[in-house]
Amino acid sequence: MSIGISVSPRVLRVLSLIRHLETQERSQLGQLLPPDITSPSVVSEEARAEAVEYFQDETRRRAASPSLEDPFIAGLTYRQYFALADDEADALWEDLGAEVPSLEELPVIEVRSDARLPA
Amino acid sequence: MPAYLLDKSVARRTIEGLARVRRSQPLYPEQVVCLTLLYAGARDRFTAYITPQSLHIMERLSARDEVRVFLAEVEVIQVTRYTRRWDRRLHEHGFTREDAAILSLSTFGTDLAGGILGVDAVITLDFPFIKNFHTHKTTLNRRLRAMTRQLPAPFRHASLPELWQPTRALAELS
Repeated sequence: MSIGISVSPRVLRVLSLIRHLETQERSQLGQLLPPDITSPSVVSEEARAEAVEYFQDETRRRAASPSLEDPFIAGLTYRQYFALADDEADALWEDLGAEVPSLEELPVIEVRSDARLPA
Repeated sequence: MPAYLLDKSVARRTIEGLARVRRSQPLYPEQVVCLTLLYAGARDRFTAYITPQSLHIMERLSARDEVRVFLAEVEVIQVTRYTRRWDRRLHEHGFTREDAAILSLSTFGTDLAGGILGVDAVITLDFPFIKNFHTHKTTLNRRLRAMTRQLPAPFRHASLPELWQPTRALAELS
């Protein structure tokens, strides 16, 4: 396939799957896809670099020598977690959220009469 | 300064992005967008909130550096006296327990000092949630008006939030 840019094998596999979808399935996919998440104009390289540098400094202040072998979630190391398929990672996060408190269990805070309202 | 509620999906992508940055791993586009958004919050361009439910998840991971960095940049939105009532109404419109809680907190939530009522926008990567919200938005607005006209100030001025992807939030802030 030649579209003037280098395309990763994973993208080509997804494209191949899409081509085999029925019309209705393609429509469903269209409703679920993030329309602009991969647009290069969303975050400039400068803004990305600035954010990355800030958070590198912030995380560096808190710990030295991070390793991919450090424990992360559910007994997995960072290396193992990064290698998970998205649906496998989804399942881990779902498990983490399995016992979150309901609204009824949370304390009620009084709101000031001059509270800020959304613009 | 606007107030945005980052939902669980955005919190997760941000944590993953922070973990990758710390370990010099490449970032995926969603992680770049979420990190850039959190950075905008850190620069005081908006106040970032998470739900108490997200906090509960984060507390289970609180030993992780990236979770501590994330929690240092956000506040936790709190329940007020009408949050639960609105939550029950939202269940009647087919929202999941989790989505109803997010919408009710973003409409009738406050900070620890009681200094806000609701947020300007919920930031989420959950596209079916955004779609479901927009499908029901007119009806929800009508029900909210019917409920709030009986309430004292400031609750009578409560309004539905916007539901945006992180990219939209960045565009609004630029």
